[in-house]
Amino acid sequence: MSEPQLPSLQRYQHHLDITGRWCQRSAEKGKGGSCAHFSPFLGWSNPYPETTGYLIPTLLKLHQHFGDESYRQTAQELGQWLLDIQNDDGSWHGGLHPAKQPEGSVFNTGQILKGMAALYRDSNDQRWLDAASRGAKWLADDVSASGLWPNGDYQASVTPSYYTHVAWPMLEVWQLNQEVSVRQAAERYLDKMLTRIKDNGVVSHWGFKDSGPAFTHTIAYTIRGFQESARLIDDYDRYAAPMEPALEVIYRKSEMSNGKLAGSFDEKWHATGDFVCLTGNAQLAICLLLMEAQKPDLRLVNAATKLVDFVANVQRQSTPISGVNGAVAGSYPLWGKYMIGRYPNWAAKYFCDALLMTQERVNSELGKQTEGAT
Amino acid sequence: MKIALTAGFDKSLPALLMADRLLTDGHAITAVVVVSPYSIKRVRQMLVSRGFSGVKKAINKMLKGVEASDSTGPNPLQVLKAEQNLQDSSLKAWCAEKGVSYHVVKSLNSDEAVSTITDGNADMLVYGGGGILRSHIIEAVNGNVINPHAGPLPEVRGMNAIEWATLLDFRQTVTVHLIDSGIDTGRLIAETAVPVDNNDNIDTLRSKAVATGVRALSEALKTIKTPAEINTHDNIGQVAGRQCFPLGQALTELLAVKLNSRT
Repeated sequence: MSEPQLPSLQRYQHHLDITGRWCQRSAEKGKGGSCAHFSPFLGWSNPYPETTGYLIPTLLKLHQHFGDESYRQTAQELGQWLLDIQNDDGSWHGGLHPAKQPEGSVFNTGQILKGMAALYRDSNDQRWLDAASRGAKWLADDVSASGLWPNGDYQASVTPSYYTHVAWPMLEVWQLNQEVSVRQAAERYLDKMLTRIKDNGVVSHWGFKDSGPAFTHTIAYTIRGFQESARLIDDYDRYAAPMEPALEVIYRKSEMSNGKLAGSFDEKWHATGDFVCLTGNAQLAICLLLMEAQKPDLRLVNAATKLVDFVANVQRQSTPISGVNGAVAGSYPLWGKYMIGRYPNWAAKYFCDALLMTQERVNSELGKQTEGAT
Repeated sequence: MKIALTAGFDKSLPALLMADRLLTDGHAITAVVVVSPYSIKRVRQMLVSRGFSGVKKAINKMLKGVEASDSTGPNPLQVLKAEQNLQDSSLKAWCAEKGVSYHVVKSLNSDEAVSTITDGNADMLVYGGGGILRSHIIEAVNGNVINPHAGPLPEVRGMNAIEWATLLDFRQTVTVHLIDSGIDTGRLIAETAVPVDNNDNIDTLRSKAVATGVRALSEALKTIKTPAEINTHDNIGQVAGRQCFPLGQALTELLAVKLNSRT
């Protein structure tokens, strides 16, 4: 890993380092998994299987980026813990571990598949793929003919639209095991979600609850799920292009707020509440960069950097509390509506992902500029 | 023609240069309307859209009149000022000297601003800064609001236009156009190349574009005898590209590298 050349890249590298180390600490304190969150009042929480699952690909990317073997080691240990707590039917339970109710959760199982798929790609060890295949089959078997999961959501009465973030890992597994029924089930759900897109780009039911505003966290889940699904089936127009109107709105709002994007929006794109959902910021930066990868435009990169810069600017680095240093709060301010007073591991995870992508994109542009000079 | 002019602050050198040049060209300046910088709403909006560093830069500009430059060469705006033999550094002083009506308003969209412009029977409003214009002020002068935009249109709409034109490899030009209800989407009147050279940095690039805009505006208005002639130009609203916003830190650094690598 060479020294970043621009001051902003050096800054991103620093934030990546401290946030990656916080993720490691969340695993050290996680009794096998990664703690869901740290609270200055309550300390480290119990481990959260769902986010432990999708933290794994981030840890593997950090291993590649820094060349630090400990990240890979942590990823494998977390993966082993997830294998140990997988239900017999292939699913994983929702909520923190140990669970009050061991029944499988659609969304949580989907997120854990990402970890299993990443570990398989990293090691070629069949046990990861076997676990992923069983989980994906459990998910696929439950998708109705109309494209919805009838059971399994923890808040809404209808299948939320952000479950596109479940279709994505199903397609990841399909890509590895070529199980057609898994792809078909994922597409059935995604096609149903396409019918929920409104003229203004909003996808109805993309929040946690049946009605009311959605956090940028779940808005980003929905968009990213479509984008990654499009990548996996190699059909941008079918699933990613329909997300462009929403991303154009987010682009403008990100720029007009200089990265201090409102944390939740109603279905008319009116901001609700005076707080920033920091994980949503990082996730939406990734979504903008994914659109930009398909249709290059540095204006989108500019907006993404502003979203990332805002998170970096409010990240705490030198407090006496180790659970806070390098963490990313749920909201800014800390008492904002999303994850009040807590530092979730998924906010750190998405911030790392956003920093990695932003660094890569800015670096590639820097390469072009300096190449042009020779 | 009878022209009213707006400015974002009293020491706006571009606005001062425009006013002086248009007067020299033989136009009647009916009013200069300056937006008061002492508005909490304005500072708050600036803070949200540009951040602390942006506000600091803007305050510096308001106090000194010209953006600081680390260029070794003369500032193109100062060159233009010398060329016009302009002694004043504030619009208020210039208006007093020339006998032009000078007004400070809270917002260009206020009734006070609109009546100031209409009372002078201006044929045209020249936009020299002061915030986004709403439809009623545009309609008050029958849509004849003209703006020298520091970048090529329709490709580069919005802020930091010459910087974006450079980053995105578009033409390094300024465009004179009418303002309508969109952002830089009104009819195009003229386009002029910015004389960029290999020694330019971000500050000199911007100053050159603004200076070119002042000259381009003057030239464009020499060719137009009545406002009605403007309406024969192309409307660009239908082909407008993605709006541009201020460059963030990373993109500013990339632009600096790009400009540097040309030397």
